[in-house]
Amino acid sequence: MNNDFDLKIRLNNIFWSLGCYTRIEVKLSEYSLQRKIPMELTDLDVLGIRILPDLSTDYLVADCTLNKDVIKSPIQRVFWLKGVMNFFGASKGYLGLGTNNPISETQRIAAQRLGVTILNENNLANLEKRVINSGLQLKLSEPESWLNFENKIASLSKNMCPLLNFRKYHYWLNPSYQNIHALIFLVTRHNKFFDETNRLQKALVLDLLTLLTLSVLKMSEYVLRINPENPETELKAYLYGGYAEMKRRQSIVENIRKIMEKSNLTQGSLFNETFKLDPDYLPQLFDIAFRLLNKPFDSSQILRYLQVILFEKILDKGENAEGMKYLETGFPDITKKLTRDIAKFFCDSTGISEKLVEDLY
Amino acid sequence: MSRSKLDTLKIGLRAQDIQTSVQDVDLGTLNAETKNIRLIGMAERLAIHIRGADVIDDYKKLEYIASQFGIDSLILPNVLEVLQELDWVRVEKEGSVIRKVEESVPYFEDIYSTAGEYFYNSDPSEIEEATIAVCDSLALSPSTEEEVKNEFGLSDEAYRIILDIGKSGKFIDEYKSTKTREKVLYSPLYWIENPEKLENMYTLLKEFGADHVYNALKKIRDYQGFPLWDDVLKDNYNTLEIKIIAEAIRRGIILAPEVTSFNGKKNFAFTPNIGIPIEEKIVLEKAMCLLACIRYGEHFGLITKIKYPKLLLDKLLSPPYRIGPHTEIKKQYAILVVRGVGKIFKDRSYDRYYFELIQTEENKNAVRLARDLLKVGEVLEERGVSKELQSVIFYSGSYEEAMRTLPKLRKPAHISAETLEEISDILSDTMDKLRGA
Repeated sequence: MNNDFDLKIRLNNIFWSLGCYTRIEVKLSEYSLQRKIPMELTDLDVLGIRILPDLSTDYLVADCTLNKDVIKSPIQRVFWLKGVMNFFGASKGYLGLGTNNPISETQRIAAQRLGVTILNENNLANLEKRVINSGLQLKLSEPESWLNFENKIASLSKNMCPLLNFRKYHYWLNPSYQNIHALIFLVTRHNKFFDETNRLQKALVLDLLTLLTLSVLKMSEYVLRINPENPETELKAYLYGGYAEMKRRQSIVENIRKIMEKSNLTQGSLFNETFKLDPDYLPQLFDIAFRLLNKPFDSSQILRYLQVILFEKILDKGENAEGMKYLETGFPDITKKLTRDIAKFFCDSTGISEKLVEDLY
Repeated sequence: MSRSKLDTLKIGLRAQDIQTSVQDVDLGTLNAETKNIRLIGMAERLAIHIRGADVIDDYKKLEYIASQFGIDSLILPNVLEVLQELDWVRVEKEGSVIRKVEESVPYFEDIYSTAGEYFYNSDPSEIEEATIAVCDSLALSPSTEEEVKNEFGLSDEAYRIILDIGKSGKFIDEYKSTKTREKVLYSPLYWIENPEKLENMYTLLKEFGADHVYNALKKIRDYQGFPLWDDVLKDNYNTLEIKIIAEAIRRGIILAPEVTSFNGKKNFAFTPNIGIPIEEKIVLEKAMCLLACIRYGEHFGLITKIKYPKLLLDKLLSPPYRIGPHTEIKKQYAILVVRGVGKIFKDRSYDRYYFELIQTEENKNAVRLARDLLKVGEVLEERGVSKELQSVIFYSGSYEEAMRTLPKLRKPAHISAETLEEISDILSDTMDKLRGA
């Protein structure tokens, strides 16, 4: 365990208690045109994603450090964190310092102006007392669970590398609308490598499903804001990166079609089946997105429900009675049902076995 | 049956029509002859009513709702089984007791085609298939008794059973010509008993033959707002179908609103009976005018032609409820202003115009109906559904598919299987890149 991991878990638990779905050590990267791979720029120690009942997304980020220079004068780190927050679109930041040294009031005020709260050990302990429900012991609040998950998942076979890279880098690099097709495309391409009896692969699938859900929630949020009464048009426009972009892509397809027709290359049903912009899964995707926007409160819980399933049912094999009870009683029935809808869509659209998501039933 | 095999969408629709018609009728021994139709019809009706509920944890409530559609609580588990096989519900049981139903009825897929497909696979009897085919045929056009028997190859016994079922449920009835006393079969669901219109129809059937009349009406139903070139109305016909269409317009059987713009006056044909209640006739009139205006732009636009009619109708349903600017809008959409559907105003800087929908519920319904007519040729909106339930999703394709098949008429070049596979791979890759992979 590295030295600041304990701090990360404590911030993770605070974010969870504040109603967030959480991830630890999220990589921020940019795509290198020369090397054609994502180049890691920096990482985010803890990311909290809170879906509000109107489906808007609130990001909380935390940086945790034991670095003596930072502890001495944290404001420079605050400025850096503010940059990361902007990059990520986060509204609130926390800088967790592994020290009991007092923080100067000036630095606290300056940090607050930037949306960052500085927490020394004392502040952190008090914040935990204020927000954490001490009665509930979930596996996702334990450092071992996280380390176990990340270490084991990184050891999956080489075939799974593109999927691991996607969850680690590409997902956070891509614009959200692009992630839906990118994820489905990638999982479809690798579906033959999945083994439905492999628990670790189930964990990976659930993690990818969670990322897909986040993207679909963003799609639903977009339509909820633009015009939920005419969802089909808006959903499609979102999927293609906006109305103008959708038109541009449609006209490219139309032009290629014309060329193919002129060249007499359109024989047989093969052409009509293949040559269409809209993927086959589109109606089902729209269905899911529409259902989410119609039940925003229940939808806002799905990410957290998936996270508890991952840690309690898949990774811990349901051994933590308290966690299993929480799964049973801590989420609305509609949340669970919508989660199963998305899982079914994920399996149908990618061709992976429904057994990989059987823990949702 | 000589008429082309019914598509699954029509089967789904007719199964629902028939089940709705017979739900309160004691069919006695005929029950067995309609069991698959009724089961599918029940499943469709229950599906459209529970869509959006997500979780139904009060089974009593579901039993009550189902009973409103003639689904007895003893039958309900069978209906749920059909829905489960269609992947539209997940039933959670404790032992044999149903505890919870999770609903996933699709919003953006055509449920009727799926249900129709299910019907095909449920081993229906010949009587059932023929009942659906006759019901669909009569929904489009009345026909003589003899023609119905011949067209569907029905024995006297089968014909009698179908007629008994239809008459019991009042979705088939007979009309006797005042002139010859010959029997004409029609569907009261689609052809409101109007002796004058039915007599006109009878004359048309006698003159041209039921099969030709059916084909002519089908041509229009498949492409509502069928553009009529000037010569059609001037007794200059290329085909028998067009002659029948012209005659039917003259006799008031086919409606053909007129639109005027830069390319002169043009008429667009619509079948009159599309399954809309008579009290919503005004909505139908508005919808026909809307679609006629759009068809004008599609076929007779001078400056540019409309390529995506559905997209235009979609635009009228979302803010700013407006299409344009375009030079031809001022003349082309004028009939809509007269009917209170929308207003036309000029672009600030150019000699171009916008058409904006007046946002009343009636006008919005007219746009939705125009969209139905464009895609399916008849109303898909569920009969008897309360207004609160979600809007219906329409079959995607008929118009677009028709347009896509046109190039097939050209003689294709010979391309080897390997080349085709290669092209297919390139196309798949291109499509995935365009989708954002």
